[in-house]
Amino acid sequence: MRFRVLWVSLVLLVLSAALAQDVTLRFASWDSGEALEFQKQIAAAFEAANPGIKVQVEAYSDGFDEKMAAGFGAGDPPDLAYMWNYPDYSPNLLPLDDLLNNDAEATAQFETYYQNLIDYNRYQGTLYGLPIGFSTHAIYYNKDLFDAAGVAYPQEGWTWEEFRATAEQLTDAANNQFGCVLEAAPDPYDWQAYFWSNGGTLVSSDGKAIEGVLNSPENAEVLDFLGGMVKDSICTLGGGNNQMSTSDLFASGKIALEQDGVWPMSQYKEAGINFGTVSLPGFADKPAKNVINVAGISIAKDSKHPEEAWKFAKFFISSEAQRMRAADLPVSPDVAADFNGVNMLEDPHMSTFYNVIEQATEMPAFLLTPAWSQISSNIQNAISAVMLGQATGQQALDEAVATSKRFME
Amino acid sequence: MTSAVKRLRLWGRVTPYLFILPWMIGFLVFTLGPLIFSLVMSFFDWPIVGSREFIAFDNYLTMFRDDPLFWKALRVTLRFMVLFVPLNLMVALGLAMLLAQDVKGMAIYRTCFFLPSVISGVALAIIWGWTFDGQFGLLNYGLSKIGIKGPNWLNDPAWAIVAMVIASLWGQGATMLVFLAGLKGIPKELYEAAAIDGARPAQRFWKITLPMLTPTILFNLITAVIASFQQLTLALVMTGGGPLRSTYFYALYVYENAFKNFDMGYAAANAWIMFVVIALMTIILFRSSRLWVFYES
Repeated sequence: MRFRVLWVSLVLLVLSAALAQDVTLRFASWDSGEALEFQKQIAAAFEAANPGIKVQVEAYSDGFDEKMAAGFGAGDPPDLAYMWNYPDYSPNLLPLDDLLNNDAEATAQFETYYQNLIDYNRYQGTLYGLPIGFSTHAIYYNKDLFDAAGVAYPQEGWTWEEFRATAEQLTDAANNQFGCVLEAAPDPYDWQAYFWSNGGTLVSSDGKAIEGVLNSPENAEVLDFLGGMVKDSICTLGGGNNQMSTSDLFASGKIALEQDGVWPMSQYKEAGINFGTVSLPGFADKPAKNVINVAGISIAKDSKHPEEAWKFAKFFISSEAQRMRAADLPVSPDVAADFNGVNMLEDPHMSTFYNVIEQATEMPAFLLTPAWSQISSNIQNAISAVMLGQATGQQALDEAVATSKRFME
Repeated sequence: MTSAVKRLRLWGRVTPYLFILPWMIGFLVFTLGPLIFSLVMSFFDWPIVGSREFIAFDNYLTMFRDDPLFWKALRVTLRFMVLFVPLNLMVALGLAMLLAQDVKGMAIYRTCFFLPSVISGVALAIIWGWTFDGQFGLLNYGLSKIGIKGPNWLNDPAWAIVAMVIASLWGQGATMLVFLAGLKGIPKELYEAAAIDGARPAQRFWKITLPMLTPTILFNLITAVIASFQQLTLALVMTGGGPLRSTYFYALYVYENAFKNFDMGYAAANAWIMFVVIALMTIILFRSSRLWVFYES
């Protein structure tokens, strides 16, 4: 009898220990489709290497911010999440500086990174995320259209005036062929590169002012210039409700020049487009600027398993995991130099995106003001108004300032 | 013995309340509770994450003084209302009159015309999104067949609101049914007497149907006004308020302040202003009804 009790309690003890050891990490991602599959594969590889830790990938897709806010609000956030919006989320995120400094392995990994990519994951001096992938912006051009029209390919260091002249030569309205395509309602984040290139910026460097900054003559000039190409039918518009996106249009082979990140490159290859890439043009003699879209991985401050979460975050930036991602660019130069047999730093298509990292010298507006997510929709609206020919650059930006001012106090 | 009777009587009195208790709890927890809660919220700076701060009437003052989008959303909503409400009433009444006829298979027709109201709002919005597509949409295809080049509905600031009205007119079911019931309630003798007196169909409509229907029209008018103020799904799914905020309905404005800007206090204040505006409109309509609604008494 006594033995039986002993046995039962022993079995129970072992069972509960086994159950307690299995930690489940929740990891929230904004991706869907192929990019999400890569993350699931990384999670599976991590699980295989770390028995006892399970990773549940939660795909929030377009509802990312709503679901994250609900999770934090209810005190039940995912342990880890994709992140870029540090001003909004930093109060709920685990500062990573100490964890990083006490971890020789991760520090060594980190030292190989491009400095800009790390800075994009810092907010007010504190590191809140580990950069896991990025893209800069470049111009894709359709070589076949250039060849057919006998126009020379664009050269590095070119200007917007040259861009316009080139696009004009490649526009063939009768055949529904356009020199270039612009987004009808772009993410203003991406267009910062244009404003910076003309000496403008969206928010003052102390993050306090938009009056006279957002609606500066330099910014208005940029919008008028780009909108002018649409008005003169050199550029067509992409995106919008149920419309073909700019990359879909370029993949259809009817567009000579398109600005984009690295994301649609595989789509163009599949579509059989004979394309080249060149860095963004500058305005006259001013230096061209670029902007980086960086995705980071962050840990929730309230995570019940910070140690395991750190392990997973570290795994996510390892060379092994970086090689499993193909949706954007790897953050370590040594991974980029040997990405499954391709040297991205020398590849004629890919190298452009690495070469322009050094042009991303300006601080993006979202790291300057916590109001970015509120004001960006107003800026998008202003750009859209000019692209649709409903307002001049100055009028549209003045209105954006009027609607955004209350968020800046 | 007497105490047993008493207990039974007490039980008899309590029983009905027990039956409605679930609804009472539901009302208190899910309607009245949140209502009062949102009123309290509207006096706070209340982010979803982070600390709350009492700011008295600041949310309301900001709305009226510093937020051009508040006025923009109000204007868009009023424009929609002016287009939608009369059309809605006319189409619903027209359909109801067709369905009030005595022809074979009426039950099938009625079912057919009510069916669109059963489809969930989001599904409907997605279907209309395809229908309105500038290049490949069904609507522009139909228009091209009769030689009209349709606009790029959802991407043209001038046409997007019209597209919203057309899509809203789709879900006629409830309004139509109320009209149908109203039509059935008009005594047949009136029509018979009028026919004997030689009244033509148009005269019968203007002199009998419409006056007798005014109480029903009042009801439908008020619900249509409220519905147009609360229009959210179509704009959220089809246009996101664009292009250029031409479909930026008030309900969408509230939604964005709450779930995009995460400013729950401000959104609560927005919603209370919406409540006040709807209440005012309802009062005005009720007052005006003395002038045009025919009550049989």
